[in-house]
Amino acid sequence: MRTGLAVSAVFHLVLIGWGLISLSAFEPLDASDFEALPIEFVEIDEESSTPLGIRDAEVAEDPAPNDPTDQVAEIAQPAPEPPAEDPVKPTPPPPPPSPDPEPVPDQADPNQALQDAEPLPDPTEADAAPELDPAAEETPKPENVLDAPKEVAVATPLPRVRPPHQAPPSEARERSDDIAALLDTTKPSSAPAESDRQAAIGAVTGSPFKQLSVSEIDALRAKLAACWDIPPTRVDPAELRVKVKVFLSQGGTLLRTPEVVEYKPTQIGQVAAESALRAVQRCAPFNLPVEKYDSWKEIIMTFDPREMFGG
Amino acid sequence: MPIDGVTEAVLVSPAGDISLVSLFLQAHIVVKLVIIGLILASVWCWAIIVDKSILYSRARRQMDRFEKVFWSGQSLEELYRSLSGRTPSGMASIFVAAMREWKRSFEAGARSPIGLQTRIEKVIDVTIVRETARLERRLLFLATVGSAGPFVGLFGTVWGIMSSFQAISASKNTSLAVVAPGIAEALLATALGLLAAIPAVIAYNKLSNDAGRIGERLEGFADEFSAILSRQVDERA
Repeated sequence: MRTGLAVSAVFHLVLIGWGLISLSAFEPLDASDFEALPIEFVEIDEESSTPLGIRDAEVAEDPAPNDPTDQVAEIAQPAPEPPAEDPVKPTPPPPPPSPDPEPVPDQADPNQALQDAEPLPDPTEADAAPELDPAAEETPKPENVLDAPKEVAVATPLPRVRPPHQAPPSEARERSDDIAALLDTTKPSSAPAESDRQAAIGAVTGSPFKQLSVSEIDALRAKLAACWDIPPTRVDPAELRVKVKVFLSQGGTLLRTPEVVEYKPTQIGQVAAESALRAVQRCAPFNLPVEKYDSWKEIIMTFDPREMFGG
Repeated sequence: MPIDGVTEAVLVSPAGDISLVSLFLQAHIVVKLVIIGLILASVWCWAIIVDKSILYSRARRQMDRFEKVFWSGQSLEELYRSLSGRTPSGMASIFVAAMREWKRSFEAGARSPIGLQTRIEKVIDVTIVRETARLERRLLFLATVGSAGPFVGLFGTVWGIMSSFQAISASKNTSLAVVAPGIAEALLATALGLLAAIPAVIAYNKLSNDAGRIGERLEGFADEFSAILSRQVDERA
């Protein structure tokens, strides 16, 4: 036993010594400073409430997005700006020649914007220049001419751009109409459904109004189940399935008698349909959120004993 | 640059503190006791392992030598005379005990062969029991360490983690540099428990198997030898 003990003690001493030497110096982990990831907790709602987005959300700033000329105005916008800036810089009133060259680029730019390869003849430009002046409040006086562009600069884009379109003679006018028609057809069809409110650049499939949440639907179902006297039969519960369309006022009362939309055309099915109608009338004032009235003013209620009573 | 010095000290000190000695010195007294106890148990286990291995191999060698001599055709009287001088072990001790009983019975002039046979078998049984007890002595300690060692280590770990959590709550700082040394020190106890238990379990299985095999060999020899003696008794009767 003594030899065993001696051997064991030596063995352990060696082991501990090895541990002290090799395990004493741990290499520190290479935990260099890493960038902290910001984590944001987003609460998941019961329903998706993303508003319906429209593709040209920026255009929504314009007062009348449906106006076809405005689409052209969008493209032609850079053109009128030089006259707006130019009068601001030179305080001495320039003579009438100064407005003259400006309408010329004004005229040329919409044409470039419309990608018209055909160069316009000079006479049209010469005609356009005098016509533009009356359009800008018909004042030959240089100071007033200067004032008019200033107003234009401040005002909304619509009046600013219209003069060049009205001013040019028939050709340009027709072309712009053609393009406008083209633009009209290519306009995205997903316009805001019901309201003028500001639309975000949101999901395309978003719903325009708020749906009833799952818990509200459940509450409604529970209420109906309490009101519903199921005809006491032993038939297949599928025969008792009835769908009733209910028309509700904002206060939750019935606007008119509900319609039975779907029922099994058997004797039991008719009884079930009548009992479902009675149940709706008995439950009549439904307490539903007013702000979601759009989604429940016409609501189809399904009476199914398997769903309502878990049978 | 005092600020740099402070940050360096804060950053360096926890890394330097995880050596085995500092872990042991920082540990709670209970954890220290557990660690010391486990180290002692491990030392004792290895002592037993070494001792038993030597003992078994020596016993096996002695049995081989004795069987060679026994079956060589040498006269049993001569063999007995050569062996009775020293303290025999293993098969030799069985042989010596049986022969002694045999001689005593004949010197006393016993006339009952059945009584002689019974006495010889009893003597052989007692010797076998004594021999196997000698072989298997202290093996149970290995079994105990093997089964209880991990639990003792776990106890130390739980205690260490408890106290380190209390220290954390007292310091109101949960950075890993504060938490890590306490947990590492606590885990050291489990590591030692496993370190003691695993060899103990393996050695216990191996050694008890060896002891069982040696015991079987002893019993086989005892049966053969008692058969020889019983034949002699019948011849003389």
